[in-house]
Amino acid sequence: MPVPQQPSAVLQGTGRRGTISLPGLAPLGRFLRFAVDVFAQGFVRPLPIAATIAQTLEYVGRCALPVIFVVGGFSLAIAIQAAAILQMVGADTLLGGFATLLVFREFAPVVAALMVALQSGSSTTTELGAMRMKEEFDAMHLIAVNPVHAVVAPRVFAFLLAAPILNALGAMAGSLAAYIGSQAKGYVSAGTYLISAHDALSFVDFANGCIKAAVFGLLIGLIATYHGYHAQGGAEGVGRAANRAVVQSVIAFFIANSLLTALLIKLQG
Amino acid sequence: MVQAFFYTIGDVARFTARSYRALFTTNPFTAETLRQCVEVGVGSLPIVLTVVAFVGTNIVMQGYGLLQILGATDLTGLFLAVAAVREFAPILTTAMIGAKAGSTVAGELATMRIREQIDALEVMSVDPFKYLIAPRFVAAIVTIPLVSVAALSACLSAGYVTATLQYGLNGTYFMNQVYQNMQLADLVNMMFKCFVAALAAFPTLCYAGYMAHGGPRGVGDATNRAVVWGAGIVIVLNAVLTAVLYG
Repeated sequence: MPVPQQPSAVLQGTGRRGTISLPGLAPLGRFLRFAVDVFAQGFVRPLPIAATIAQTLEYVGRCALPVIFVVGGFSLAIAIQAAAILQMVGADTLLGGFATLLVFREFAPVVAALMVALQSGSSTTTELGAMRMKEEFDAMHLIAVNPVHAVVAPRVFAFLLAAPILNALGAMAGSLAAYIGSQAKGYVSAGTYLISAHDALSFVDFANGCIKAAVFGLLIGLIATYHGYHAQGGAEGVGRAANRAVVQSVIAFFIANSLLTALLIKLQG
Repeated sequence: MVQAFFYTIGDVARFTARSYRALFTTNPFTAETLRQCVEVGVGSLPIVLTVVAFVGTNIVMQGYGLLQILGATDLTGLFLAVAAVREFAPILTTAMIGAKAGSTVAGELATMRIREQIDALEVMSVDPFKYLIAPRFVAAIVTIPLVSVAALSACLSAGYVTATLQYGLNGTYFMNQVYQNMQLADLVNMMFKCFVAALAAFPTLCYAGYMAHGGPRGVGDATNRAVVWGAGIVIVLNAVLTAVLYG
């Protein structure tokens, strides 16, 4: 299946008066077609289960330390700021619940997704881009292997699985770091902090974080593989594709984050 | 493995020292520096402003939910002001410029390295640190604090729109809350955080690109490493600075 590089004549606009020209929509259409193709090919037998598991483990392993450190650092800073805010209101005793809820609902999924985009997203784009440069995909077509089924789909599924796992890791590291931050500064006693955290937190918050992370992971995986699969122009082209993949996936998941937060808050009532 | 790790740290430190020394030169490449300012600062504005604006709406949504527990939804403005100026604007500005401009810079340097253009510069006795690194470094140090101010205004505007339109809070009261809880010191601290982050992280980004090897794959690996290291340094440094400035 040759990869179409040019949009159709209608979308490109023929330059005649009266034709509608929508240059921004053509790449979006190509991207959507790619996404549909990935899912169609992903469920063709034999299902790429082994490859998906291997990729998931690789992504989780590569991102685990960055996620833990970054969520930890962020949560420490936030615990200190939250203590300042709550002291103004005179509700210091609620610090535990405040900080832990922020970590579980917002920081863990967002930072996990950010690190997945920066680390695994750009390295996947590079990997696929290098394969495209070496004409490995064309070789696969020649031996009747569909590269979308063999290479792209397992990676997209792996992103979908790895992001929630990293979210769980980040939530653990973040709540621990927030606790350490509050204790090191002595804002509240340990017991008060833990009781307030325990009261405030419910399983729904964790599930919300996991749903968010899974959606972000899917977006990042699709964008990263799309840019890698369609890379062109030698070594420089691969670098440019990686750059574009990072920028677009970060913008996409922050927008998705706003929409999802509003949606989940509505659903929770 | 452990030895290699320490060798890398030593290499990065030496590279950073050389980058700093390249800043103090008697005949700087002014035109190139200005071009890089546009590239790094203006080129990163779209991604920074988009991300920060959506984060602003999110801060208000989460803050409103949390303050509802306390029955103090009037304080959403305070929450937004403190969260935005102290944490989110500096972190997101530096991290996003690291992701956009940082990966561009690392990719450029890596491509030049792979094509042996850096060796060619050395043969012509042009110091690559003065010609390639210093202009980009100066651009980063100068523009990142300025971009953070634009990011802060985007964050506050988006938060204001969410608070008034989605939650129906009183706009005047909301902005009063924001102004009262945002002192000049906070603004200076924010720019200082950005400045320190640029000073500390940027040579590391350049190092990743400068030391690239191994064809197309090598360029991609270099950009990847630059972005991850940059984000890690920026966020950990931010936690340290928060503890020092506000703890």
